Amino acid sequence: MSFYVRPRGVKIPYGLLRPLLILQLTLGFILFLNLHVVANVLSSKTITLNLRSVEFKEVLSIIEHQSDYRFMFSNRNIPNKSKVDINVKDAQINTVMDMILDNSGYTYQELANNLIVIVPMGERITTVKITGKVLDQTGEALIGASVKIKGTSDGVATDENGGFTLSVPDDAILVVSYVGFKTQEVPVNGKTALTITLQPADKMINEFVVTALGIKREEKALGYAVSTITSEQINAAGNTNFASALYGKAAGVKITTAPGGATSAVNIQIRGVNSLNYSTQPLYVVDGVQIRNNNESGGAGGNSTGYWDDPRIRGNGILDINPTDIENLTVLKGASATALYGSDAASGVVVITTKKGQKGRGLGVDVNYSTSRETIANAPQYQNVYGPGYDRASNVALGANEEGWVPVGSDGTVRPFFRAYGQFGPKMNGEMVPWWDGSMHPYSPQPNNYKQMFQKGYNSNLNVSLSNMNEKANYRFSYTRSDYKGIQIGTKQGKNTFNLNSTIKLHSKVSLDVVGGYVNTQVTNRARLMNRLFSSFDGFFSRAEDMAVVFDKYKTSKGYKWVPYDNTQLNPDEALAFQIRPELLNFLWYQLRNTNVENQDRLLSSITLNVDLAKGLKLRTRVGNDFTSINTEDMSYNEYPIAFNTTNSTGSYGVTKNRYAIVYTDLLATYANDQTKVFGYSFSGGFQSRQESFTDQVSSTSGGLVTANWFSLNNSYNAQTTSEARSKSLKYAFLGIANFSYRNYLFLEGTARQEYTSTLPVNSNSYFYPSVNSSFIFTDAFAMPKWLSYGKFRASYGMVGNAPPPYEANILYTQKPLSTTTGSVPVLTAQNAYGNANLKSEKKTEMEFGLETKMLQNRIGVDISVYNSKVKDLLMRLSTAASNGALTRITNVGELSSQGLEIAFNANPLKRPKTNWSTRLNFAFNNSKVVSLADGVNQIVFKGGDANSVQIVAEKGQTIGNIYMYPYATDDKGNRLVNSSGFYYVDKSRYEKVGNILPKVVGGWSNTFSYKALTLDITIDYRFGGEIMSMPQKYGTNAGMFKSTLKYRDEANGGLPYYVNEQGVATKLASHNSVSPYGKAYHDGVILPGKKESDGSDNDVIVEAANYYLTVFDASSNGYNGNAVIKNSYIKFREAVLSYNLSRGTAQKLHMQNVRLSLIGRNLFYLYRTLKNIDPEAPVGQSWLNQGVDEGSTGATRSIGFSLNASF
Amino acid sequence: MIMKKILLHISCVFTLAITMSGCKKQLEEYYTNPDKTTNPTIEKLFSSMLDNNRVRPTYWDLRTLQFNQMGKYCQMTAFLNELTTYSQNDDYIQNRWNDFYTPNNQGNNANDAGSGSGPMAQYRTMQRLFKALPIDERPNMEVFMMAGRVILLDQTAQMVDMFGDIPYSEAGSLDATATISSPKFDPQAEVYDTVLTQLKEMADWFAATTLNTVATSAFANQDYVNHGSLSKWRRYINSLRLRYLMRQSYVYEDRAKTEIQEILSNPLQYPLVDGDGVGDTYSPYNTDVLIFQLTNYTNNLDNAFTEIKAHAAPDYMLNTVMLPVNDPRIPLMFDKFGVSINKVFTPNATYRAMSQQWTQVMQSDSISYFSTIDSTTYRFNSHLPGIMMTAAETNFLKAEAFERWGLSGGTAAASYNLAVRQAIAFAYYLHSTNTTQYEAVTQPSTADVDAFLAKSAVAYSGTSDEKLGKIWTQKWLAYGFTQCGQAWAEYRRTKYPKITIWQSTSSIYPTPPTRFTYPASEKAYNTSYSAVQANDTRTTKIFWDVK
Repeated sequence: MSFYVRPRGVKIPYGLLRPLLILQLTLGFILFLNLHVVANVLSSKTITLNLRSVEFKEVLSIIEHQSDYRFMFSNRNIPNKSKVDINVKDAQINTVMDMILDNSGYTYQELANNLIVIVPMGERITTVKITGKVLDQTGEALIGASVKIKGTSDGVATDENGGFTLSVPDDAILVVSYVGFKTQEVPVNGKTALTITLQPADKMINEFVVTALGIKREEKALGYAVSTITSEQINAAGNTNFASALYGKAAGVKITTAPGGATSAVNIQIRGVNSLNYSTQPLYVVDGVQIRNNNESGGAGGNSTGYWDDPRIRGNGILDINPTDIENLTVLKGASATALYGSDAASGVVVITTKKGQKGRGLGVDVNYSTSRETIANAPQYQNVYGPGYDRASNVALGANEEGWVPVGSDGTVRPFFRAYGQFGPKMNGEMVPWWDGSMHPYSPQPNNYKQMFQKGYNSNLNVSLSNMNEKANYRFSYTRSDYKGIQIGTKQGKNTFNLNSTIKLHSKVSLDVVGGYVNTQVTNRARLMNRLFSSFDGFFSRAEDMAVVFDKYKTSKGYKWVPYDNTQLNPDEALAFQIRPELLNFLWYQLRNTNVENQDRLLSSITLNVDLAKGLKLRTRVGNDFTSINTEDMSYNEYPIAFNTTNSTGSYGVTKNRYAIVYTDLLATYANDQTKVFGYSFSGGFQSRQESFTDQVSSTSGGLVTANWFSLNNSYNAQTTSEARSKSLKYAFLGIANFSYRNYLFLEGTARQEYTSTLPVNSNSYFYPSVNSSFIFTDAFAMPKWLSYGKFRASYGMVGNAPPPYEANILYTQKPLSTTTGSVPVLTAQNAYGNANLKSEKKTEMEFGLETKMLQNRIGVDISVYNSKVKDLLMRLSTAASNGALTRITNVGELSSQGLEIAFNANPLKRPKTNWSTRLNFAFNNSKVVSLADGVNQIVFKGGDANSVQIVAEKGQTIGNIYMYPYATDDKGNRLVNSSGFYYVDKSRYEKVGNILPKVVGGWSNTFSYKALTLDITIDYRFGGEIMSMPQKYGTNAGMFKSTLKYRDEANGGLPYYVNEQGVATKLASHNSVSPYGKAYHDGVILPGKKESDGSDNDVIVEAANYYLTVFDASSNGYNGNAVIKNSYIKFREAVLSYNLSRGTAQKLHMQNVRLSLIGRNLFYLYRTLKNIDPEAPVGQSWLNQGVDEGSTGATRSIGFSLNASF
Repeated sequence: MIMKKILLHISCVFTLAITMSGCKKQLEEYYTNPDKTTNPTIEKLFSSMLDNNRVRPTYWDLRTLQFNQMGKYCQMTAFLNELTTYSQNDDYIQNRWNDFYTPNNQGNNANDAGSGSGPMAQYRTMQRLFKALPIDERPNMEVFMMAGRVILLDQTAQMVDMFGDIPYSEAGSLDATATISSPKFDPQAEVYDTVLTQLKEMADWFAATTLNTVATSAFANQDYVNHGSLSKWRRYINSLRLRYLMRQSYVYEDRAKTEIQEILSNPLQYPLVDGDGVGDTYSPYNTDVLIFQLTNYTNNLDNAFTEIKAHAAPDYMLNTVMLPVNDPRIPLMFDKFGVSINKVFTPNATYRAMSQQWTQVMQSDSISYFSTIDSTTYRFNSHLPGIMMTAAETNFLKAEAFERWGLSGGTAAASYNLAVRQAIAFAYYLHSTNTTQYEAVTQPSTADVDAFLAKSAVAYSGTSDEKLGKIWTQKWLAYGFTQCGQAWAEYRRTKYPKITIWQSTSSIYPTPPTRFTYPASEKAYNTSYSAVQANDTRTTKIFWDVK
């Protein structure tokens, strides 16, 4: 016999007094609400009814409303007698039941717990008293688990031992549930003792998702793709920030971490390119409040303009969000998902919810500690055979001998050509030679000198949190201390993070969420770009450079800067002996002697008021604040004693103060009907605003320090200087949301946002951003084959925007006073970054379809999304020819269209009680094309190298980010031409497409293996397709730094034998053993395959290998750039975590609830990569463009460590 | 009670919402950068045109362009013979190009100011504003338009000297009409024609005009070069005409001859920056067109020299031109320098420059044993003025005109002798501008100068070609280290001084270029570039380079 559950109305717990609320609100709006509920008396045992001709079921329903009684009855045997008439006052239940069942052929039985069972006359009901216990999978008691009788809300909670007792009909079914565990149904079948073991809930099924504006929605109701990441996924590998933990975990979300370690920015790019200029980083929303992501540099993001504007690798705002405080994170990708954020959301939104106090634990204490050791991960593939020097003719012309040895004195002693940037000099055989520091030193290869430039770093994180929850309030307070020492010399960071998240119930209908975070960070000598070492002829340390000498010599014993060979009077004892290339010593001076300390205080806070105004009507309002204050002290030490000062001194002291504040407010009123009805609906209306302000003050000494190494503005040689920059912006919007559902399997949502922004000209500062999305659970709507357990189809359309940063559109003039010899003269100057009075906001529309299925009892899941987006009126600080009167102009330059496909696949191939393997794989394909460009703009050049002989462009009808360069000159048939000297040369009359900086596919593959208490998590991520542009790679080839440049240099590397005849013409010898008929025989000849430019015949000119590299790859527009454009595909073994969970029993013996110990490894190694001499993640800067360009950054790190998580 | 509080909260939020919706005003207020102005005025734009660190000798221009490139090519400065010595540094050329078309002098720190004043953008803005000015206010501003144009024309001619064809007539469209055009590259000879024609118009306008009181006062305040003196502007304009007429004189000789004759025979109508005929004792401060360093500028050129070893005395200048004739300027322009031997600084015994033909290693090993650029006059001088026109240059130009064409109004010898005397006086003047005298050097006496002028290598004697050679060599010397651009242009025009070019082993840049190639951005963004692309090589000659 089975029991049928009567459909019920709103579920309101028994015994609770239903308050009568009459609220009247006035102020512009008057919300008039009248909720009246049947007044009830205290007793819930007596019943008063006055009904005429009412259906039997209706009567039961009314009784349930009035009293504590609940009914159960047989499915097939509902009393059919159509109508009931009854009139009783304060009657007992027996009286009422007798009356309504009179002559119906049914009888009833009252059980314990006020349960009344109705059965046909003559059937017997057997009730049993069950004593049971609820346990988790490890056999530990679950306290407070709910045990209910199916079909009723009647039930009990388990006690402190996990036990319960309950009287039920002997054929009842018990429903056992507990937060975090799968709900289980247990047939009683007459048993009186039951032990129920609950299995943990499947993580893949997230029933609720936090969406835009912090609105929680059922996952199945969403008509667009989202990716949800849990706290465990974020924290498993002990990442110092949450974004690094997202590698490969969310389809269509590409993560790149700037090199330099924990102080460097992590970039998230969602669904390809969404804007040409400015930061293309998503909007971050923490507990409903939009937070600051950019550091000081505003809209452009850090490191967007290259080494000379900012030599240090900047961080970004999300590094301050402590990963261990995150409960979950949702990535909203498409325009429909983010439309409620309007012009902030073109690049997607990341919604973060922080942890709260947990239910049922009492006072909980959690401790997490993780530490890892960081080392330099990879080195370029340098050659280790030849030392400094050039080709023979240049060696001689510049004062060395043919081989590249420089004579010292007249006794035949020679030394290496330290000044030469080329590495074509003599072979390094370990002979003792005079060294540039004045000592004798072996001339031997230093294969590890790249790695020796770095130090061993570490990272340690301690997080302690306290949490509690009771009926009135819940809170969680956490403190995190993290210490970091980077692999780049001189870099370190210390950070304190305090976080409080609490909810206070002011009243049964009113609650207040208070969230506060304080982050204090101190960064010393943030990692510096090594551009000067890899991109300058004064850089390039030679293959013979011994780092021990360099580290010894960068400063003198008195702490002054190294003394050059031609300025020996500064310190004759310690001056260098010979001329060198200075950038390596300078780099050490900057990072090890000079000090740059950033002290940052950041305060994130929000208060949210939630009010249940009436049945179905809710109001939520929030005020949030993100405030940052940074004080940066920059101390440059005196470079030589002040006695040598002439008209100024050396050293400097500067102090920069930044203040950045966001004030965020929103308000949302929602009315929803009963969502379990056939037609569900809800409507919301609201308002949102954000005001940002920013000031930046820089004061510094001028002309050096008067007293050596006294760091004070008062110690300035000349009058100190101060400058200030400030900006303010305001954005506000009115919002509307409408949701509809049908039978809980068809959903439709529409949103609208009318936005106003202060950064656009007054005539175009208001925009309307609508969206609509729908989801259809076809497995609920139709009968489906059994293997298909869940299927959902989704479709959405939305519009978002992108407004420029403040003041970009302005056409302005700078005024300043000039202190001329005849007095002060005011002057006005035009800007070289021109504004535009007709600027419009970027508008992105996106259409998206998706299919989500789960098969074979959720063992296999597939989620597919396809999207098509268009960005109109692309905003771009368009570079213009200077002859127009400005270098750039902000312009709406055209239209971009992107298509993409995202596939996420998960499976649980092995599922046994003690062993489990789950695997998750995702791919994202994206292609962004330029549909059109504005009139007069044929092509946009984003970045060029060597006088634009290689450049990254956007052009109509083409994929954005194509790389073009001057090709080798060829004849009609495509044969390469060589000039009269025997070299290839570039054809400057045309460009050839050689690649594109955007990847074709990105994604990741994660696996979790578990065996008993051991779990192994492995994450692999990959990128395929696309190129990187790296000028340092061309320069390194030019200089003969790399292994690849050994080619042709000697017999072993394919060099041809030849001699130079009396006429000075290189003439080939028959073999390497042949004797030269005239002069020396050489073995580094190469005849470049091709045709002579002069007569089209086959090239037969022998050239010296060194000359081939020095000439063909010349560091100018005359050199071939093929080596600067390199395919960038990789598969990286990103993370591995091996954890061991102590059994509950053991943990409890240690007075803990939970203990987990993990070995962690991050950024371990590449399974495959096409870039050999730079790391695939070498780029810095946050725009899509910077992500495809390497300008010489710093080394990549590898971390290995362990973590301990314990809860008390 | 709680409910009341809640009601209060809710009403607060609604109030906020309503006030916010009425906040359109705030949107407008936040739109404009509060630290900059939307209302430019002509006279202040004009003053900013003068604020040009490509004219004032400052670190960036000299370090990246004058010493590093132009000075090298005519051996005005010494350099290390490196493989890539003669390769054009594109970024630095790009900077120079940009500084003509768009300003880079917005910064407030006199020691760290940007390099150029963007005369094109500034002048186009002035033109736009002038057009919009009510007719009755125009007389107040006209003089700024005229003087501004003179500055623009001078800078334009210098651009042609570096690049050849340049966008001129259609350039500056953003400032003029807020549109981006692809301005055409005007043929260089046409640009020169415009420069010369308009300079003559300016000369006549300044000769004929009388300013009203408003203009007089404003011009005197804003013109911190000539301090509102119309006479000085006239002299400056006519000297410029002389310079640029002579520059193109081997191509359009008739024009040069005719117009220069007109100038030289009408000194009242066409006065010149000629030092009023005074030689040894003339006052550059009073007569020459100089722009002084700002009073809050405290930097000097030491780094600009030493960073690229340009502090070494140039070989040809010191060893060949000056030492043999015991030039009285030697102690003004050079220090003997010295080396530390056994930790003791030992000064070098004599003035001597190392050979420019040595190998890089020999040069770098020996640099300390030779003389360097003078510390008082050049390296540590925070008061070195920017030179717009000197009497010496004018008189050298006159000498050339008299010598070549035998014009009336003077003689070649007199002009030459006067020019040499003025050049020596000017060298001393530069030395004296430094408030810190590191070594005491007195002004060369008239007797010394007489003796110097009597030396056969200097004396105005010999064949006409020899005389011209002396004029040009002495003029090159007179330009000094801060006018490398003029020196390089005259070197290309006259092929004097007779320096020996060091040959690099680089097959791409064996010798100095004859012009700069266009910078990357102009090639990439100006579609008109295709018309000049064929001639955009480092060996194409400027139209006046025909000798």
